[in-house]
Amino acid sequence: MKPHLSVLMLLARSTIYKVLGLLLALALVEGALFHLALVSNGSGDSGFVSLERAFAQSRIPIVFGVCFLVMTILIERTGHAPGSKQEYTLWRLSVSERSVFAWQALYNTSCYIMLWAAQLFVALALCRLYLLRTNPAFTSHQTVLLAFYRNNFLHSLLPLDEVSRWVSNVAVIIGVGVTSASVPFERRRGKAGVTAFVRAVLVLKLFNSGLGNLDVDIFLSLFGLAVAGVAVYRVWTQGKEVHVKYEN
Amino acid sequence: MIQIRNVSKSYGRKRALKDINLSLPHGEIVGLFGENGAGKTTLMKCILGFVSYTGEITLDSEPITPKNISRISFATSEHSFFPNLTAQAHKEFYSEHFPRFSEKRFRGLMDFFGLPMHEPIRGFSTGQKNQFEVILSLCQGADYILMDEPFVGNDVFNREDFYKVMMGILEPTETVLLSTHLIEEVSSLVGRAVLIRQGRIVGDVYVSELEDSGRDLMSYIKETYHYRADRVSKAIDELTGEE
Repeated sequence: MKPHLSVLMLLARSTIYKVLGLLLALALVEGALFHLALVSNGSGDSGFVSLERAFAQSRIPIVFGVCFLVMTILIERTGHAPGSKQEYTLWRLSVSERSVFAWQALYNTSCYIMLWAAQLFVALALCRLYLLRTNPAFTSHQTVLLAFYRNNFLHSLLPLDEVSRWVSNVAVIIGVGVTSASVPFERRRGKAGVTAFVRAVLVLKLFNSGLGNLDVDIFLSLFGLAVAGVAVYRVWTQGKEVHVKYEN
Repeated sequence: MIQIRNVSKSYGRKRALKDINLSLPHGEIVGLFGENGAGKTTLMKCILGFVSYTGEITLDSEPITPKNISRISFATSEHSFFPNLTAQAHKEFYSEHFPRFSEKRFRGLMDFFGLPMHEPIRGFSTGQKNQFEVILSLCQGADYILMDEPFVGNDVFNREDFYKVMMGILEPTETVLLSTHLIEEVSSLVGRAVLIRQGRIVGDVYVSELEDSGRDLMSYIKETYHYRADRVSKAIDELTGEE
């Protein structure tokens, strides 16, 4: 088991500090943009802006999308990156390349869950900031709850009782986690994987879907699981043991 | 012993290796020489199983599989380390996957070359990266160490140091297959020279045999490659002569 855990450690050591730094940057940028949105609308009664509008004005979904893209690029570099043919080592390890893929899929999925959790935490913190800064006459104990129903992005972050959105969130996160692990695997064979940009668009589409959009949820759930399935199948059929020869 | 029998390899229509037969016994330092594109790197990749080929390559009469691949290590100028990891992290990772990894040798070589243990390798200079690549290959506890142009980018003093250290630390059972263009530099290091040209072995000789016959490695290589010593002077005459 220790060689397997060492692969997980290799993945974590290669990127975890960058991932954490990225999450910190996300919090700082979104905090600053949200603050600017509140300031630009003035303060007091005349400057009232709804919580949903404040989120929309601060372009938080775009920041989230950029962070998703950057994180994807970061975690896909382990296992195949310019400056080193890491495959020459990976093909000689005591664990199979399929196992390396499985650990990378697990690690990458965990990173995306961290991104989701961090974004949710930041959103809730910004809601708290909003309540502190806004005249209590314009807010109620339901302000935040309503914002999470009315704003597509907030609702997708925390779908509350909408089960289909929870399912599609989990399916898409598994989908992007597994496909991002298959990208270095494919690149080691001189092939291009699903581009990070396409996956970023997919995730942004999910996080822009409104409440009760069951069709989109079903489509994205199936799509997320399908791309994960295709990635696993390709690795399973191509990722034979270390000594099996690969045409470069 | 690594035994290579009738190995051929093609990239599309281009034949990179043609019917290679070669044996690498224990305890030899073998120089693999040839011009660019001769097939040196391809031959090493075939031994490691990184590319498909026809023919047979065995290690002590067994095919090379995940069970015995750790007996062969590989240092390449393309590098095979993980740039974001530190040397310390590499040591821990390699120890898990290569049971005979020598921490003592690793620490000794890291100290000798003054490489930092706790900085990511991506911050190293090209020369330091080459040193680190070779250190990793020497410390895996492999019986066969394949080195493909490992010193590209290192200065001459650095390379000189490395040759001396390598000669000093190698166990009698360790075999090195060293591919390089720096023939004169390694002529005192290698005990055997294998010459490859256009995918074929065109020469295979022990340096001691050459010495016994009063020749040196460089002249043997020039002779095998039909090197025309007057080629340069003729070209200069033609370029500078009057029309």
